[in-house]
Amino acid sequence: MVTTTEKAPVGELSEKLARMKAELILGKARLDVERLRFLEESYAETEDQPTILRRARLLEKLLAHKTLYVDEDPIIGTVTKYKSGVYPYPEFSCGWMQRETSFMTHVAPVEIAPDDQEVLQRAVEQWRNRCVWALVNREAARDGRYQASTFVKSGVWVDDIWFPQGFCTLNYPKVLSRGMSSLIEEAEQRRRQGATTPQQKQFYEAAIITLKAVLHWVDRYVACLRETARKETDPQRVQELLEAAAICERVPAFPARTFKEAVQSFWFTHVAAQIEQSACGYSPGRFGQYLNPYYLKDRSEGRITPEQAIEWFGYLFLKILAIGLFQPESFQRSNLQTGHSISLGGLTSEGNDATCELDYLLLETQRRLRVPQPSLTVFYHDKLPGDFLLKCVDVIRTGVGQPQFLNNDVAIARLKDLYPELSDAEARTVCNVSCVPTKVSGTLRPALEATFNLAKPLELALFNGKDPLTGLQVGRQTGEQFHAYDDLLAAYKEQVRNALRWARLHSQAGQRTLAEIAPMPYRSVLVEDCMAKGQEILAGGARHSLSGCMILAGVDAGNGLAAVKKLVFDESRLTLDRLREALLADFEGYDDVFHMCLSAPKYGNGDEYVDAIVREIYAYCWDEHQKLGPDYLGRPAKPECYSVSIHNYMGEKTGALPGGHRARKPLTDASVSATPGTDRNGPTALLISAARAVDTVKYGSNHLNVKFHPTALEGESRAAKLISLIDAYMRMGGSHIQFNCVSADTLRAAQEHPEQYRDLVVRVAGFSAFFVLLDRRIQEEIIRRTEVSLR
Amino acid sequence: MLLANRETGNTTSPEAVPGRLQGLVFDIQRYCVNDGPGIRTTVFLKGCPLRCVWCSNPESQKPRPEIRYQASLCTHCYRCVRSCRHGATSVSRDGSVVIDRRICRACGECVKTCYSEARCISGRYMTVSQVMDTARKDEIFYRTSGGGVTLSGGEPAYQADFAVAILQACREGGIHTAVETCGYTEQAPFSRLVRYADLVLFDVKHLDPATHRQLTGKGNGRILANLKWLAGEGRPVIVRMPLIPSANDMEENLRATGRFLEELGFNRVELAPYHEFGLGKYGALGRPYLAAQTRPPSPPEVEKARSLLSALGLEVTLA
Repeated sequence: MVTTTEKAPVGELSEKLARMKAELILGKARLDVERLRFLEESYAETEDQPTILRRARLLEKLLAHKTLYVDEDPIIGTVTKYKSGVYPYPEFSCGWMQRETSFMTHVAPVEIAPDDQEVLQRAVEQWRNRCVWALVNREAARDGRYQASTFVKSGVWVDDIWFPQGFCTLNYPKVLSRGMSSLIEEAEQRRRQGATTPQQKQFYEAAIITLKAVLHWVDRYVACLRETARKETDPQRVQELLEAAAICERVPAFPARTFKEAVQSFWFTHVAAQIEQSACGYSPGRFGQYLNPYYLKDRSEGRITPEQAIEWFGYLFLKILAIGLFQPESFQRSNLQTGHSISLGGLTSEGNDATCELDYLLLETQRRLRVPQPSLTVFYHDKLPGDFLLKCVDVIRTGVGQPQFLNNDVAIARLKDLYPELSDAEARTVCNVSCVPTKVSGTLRPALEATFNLAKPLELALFNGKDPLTGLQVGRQTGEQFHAYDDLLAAYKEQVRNALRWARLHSQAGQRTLAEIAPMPYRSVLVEDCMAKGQEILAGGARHSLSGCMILAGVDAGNGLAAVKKLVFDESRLTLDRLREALLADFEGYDDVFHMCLSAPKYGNGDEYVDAIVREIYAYCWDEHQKLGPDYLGRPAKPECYSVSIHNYMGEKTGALPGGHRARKPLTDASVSATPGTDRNGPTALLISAARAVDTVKYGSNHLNVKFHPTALEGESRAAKLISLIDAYMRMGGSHIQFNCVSADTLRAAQEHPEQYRDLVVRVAGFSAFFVLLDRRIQEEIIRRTEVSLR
Repeated sequence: MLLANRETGNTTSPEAVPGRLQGLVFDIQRYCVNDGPGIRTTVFLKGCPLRCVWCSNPESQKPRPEIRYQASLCTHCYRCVRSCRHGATSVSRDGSVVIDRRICRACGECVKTCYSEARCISGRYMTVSQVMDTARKDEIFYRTSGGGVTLSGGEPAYQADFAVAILQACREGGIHTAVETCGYTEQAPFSRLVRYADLVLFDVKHLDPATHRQLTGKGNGRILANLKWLAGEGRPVIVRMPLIPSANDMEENLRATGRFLEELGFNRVELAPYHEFGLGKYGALGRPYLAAQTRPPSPPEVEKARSLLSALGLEVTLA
């Protein structure tokens, strides 16, 4: 059953989109080394110039000479010379480009041609000792008080310096409404009249260079399209090419007039930012809402139908999906996304429901296309229309895990807590950036400092600061004898405090170095108030700024501490020594200990015994993060609370834990999800635990995944009940929730390993059951139904 | 429903605390979306007068705690055998674990030693306040969804005092209640139960007394009389009918049922097509499954029954 509304026609994926999607997903991503050649040339030419101008000249050179790619796709512009390609950015870090052997994007493995491999290795040699990562680690070594590599190797934290970061929403509406020509004029005028310091003059010059470079790049596309059209014989194709050329002649130089011009203007603006620095988390923001006026005008003047708009969004979604990041496979497998989040719903700046026609069409596009990027996010509030929510459930039913829901009230309260001067109107324009964080649109300098694993310090606390897996003395020697639970808790907190301190110190040195090595003039033009102030974004030009660590695995730490509290201190069923033996053996030969550990109270069941511990851990971590003060610009710092998929990466570095976590297995996903297999009391109990685990206003984000069998969402009445579930969670103060429909593969895995899937509930025909307990024949039947539902 | 809910696990001791009303509960399931309006918490009371051959909750039938043993999860560590003080659990020649149900007192010692959770207890004695502690947890979900608490079974009227006490406690707490009943009960406890429930979900299985006895072990006279009385009370009722191929889905029975409901003034019936989810439980309880030959009705079969009943003027919904 699929909900049809007047605003969103229900239909099938077009043949063309289906083919294009298959090509992309089944194909490979290719490393494009053109950028490295221009990097070398440009840097040689600009050696004596200020860094910001060197970066501007680099982008200018790249855009002027890079090979253009054009195919049947009516939306023009790719990051690299390939349909699906990646650029390397050795200026950030590059040792891994030599060390690692296997690379991938969120979509496909990265192929490197042999000749290109040579170019890459030469770049690594050139940047090895002067990339941001190398400089920061050298500084840390000089400091001598800590060893970053020890923390990183042991999986306590990993600095987020080594890859370029996006994590913001650019001011796209400004380009759509004004055009880049007007931005160039503004920069020129400000350079003449407003710039007083050399830095300001340099900034405006760099801004002008990069904006002109983008327009020149677009002109090259126009010429390319006309040339292709000239050689083309198919009249329909000629027509398409000339239409695309006409659109590119207009935008992004001048204001967009139509829906298609607006989409193309957005896309050039966005791709240019990805070329300057391909990075995770450049989110389009309230994309449907700022495009909606163009769409409505086209509709009323008969230029477009909803069906055509959906098709156009389909092309755009695939273009977004094709943007990849060059990363080692080992790390990419823990990420698998690029943070292209589109925000739907929410409020207008006047406080009314902001849901628009295009929000419905974006949902319908995703219902048909089912791609992981872009991802759709709904800002939930009481005034959302009922048919819009039902449409959301239709998309959830496909198993794509979207849209996710963010609490609009919490998001606004969070912004006002962070920036007390923010007006209501500005706070209401909040959008989702990257995965789950909520940020102001178009005015933010964000920086992820480090990713912090709260589970590892528990291992360190139990083993006197030593990491059992690597044998390294990572933490402080907090002792081995604990006479009461509070002694252990104190040791744990000390390990967290110590590690977090160095994580932030190290990362801030990284941010400072980054600002010196890789300023971003083009991005700065699109983040307010850089242009008004004449100041680059990393130098402090953005109106708002936010740095902080990403915190994860509080649930694993909480389950672990609760097990020790219960078994060792409350009930004396286990000694600490025997527990340590069992942990070192990864529970092999300690079945009884493992069983006791598993049967201890677990987070996610609404059990305050353990929920209180999880809450205390997250609260402590927040306090310590605050005590370490603002970022290198003196602007606010605040931690985020989510995991992307880094709980897998961190899990590989984490040993056995007293909650029953096996060594090197993934940690718990998200920040307030339950450990798989441990939430036995259904979704309402999980939501009660989740809503109280984290102070959702103080943290910059929060993250909860709930798994459902798709048949549980069949029919309108069950869809309505799911919406009530979301509503109740939001009322309890929950800030993020997303639903993953269980796939047939998961059910098969559960047949093979029932012990890992004890919590898997299937709800069919008015009957709920733990899947692993069902008769085998019935299991098979459910697997078949799952395949049907998700098709 | 299959696995005893951890939250209900207070004590397995059948000795009632003097002066405190206790009932035998085999599960409390939260986030139920099919036992009445909205999101509900369903309290499953153990003990049922009927023995429907297709029953998907066989653990609901006997009015005492029972051990369930899921052989597919067993790792054959035999801790359960060693832990059994009554000699009810033993190892058979082929190495499998067997339970002598005549000896087993469901004391639960074996459950504690079963690391693979192949064993659990169905049926725990609980006080009204223990039930309410769990029922109250989801109040916010009841509010946002228009849900509440459903008493199911087994047969709630089988433990009428306990059931009424829960309904009263819910009413005092402003929680909407529903009672699922098979209707086979004396009129006095039945009317008491109905008086305190905001909604009654009433099962009608077969209109012919002899066939009804064959399928459920009891005649339907009392059931139909209770439904007739209920119809006159003018309270919210949803009549439900399980649709069991070759048992009650014959045209003649469907027509008879439809006409009977019409006469009583009901204009709606909810069809619950048979499913095989309970299949695995029979083995776990050491009982034969009498409906082993029965298969769920095919979509055309369901549609046929639906259209037949709607032709009689009833609004038909599917569970």
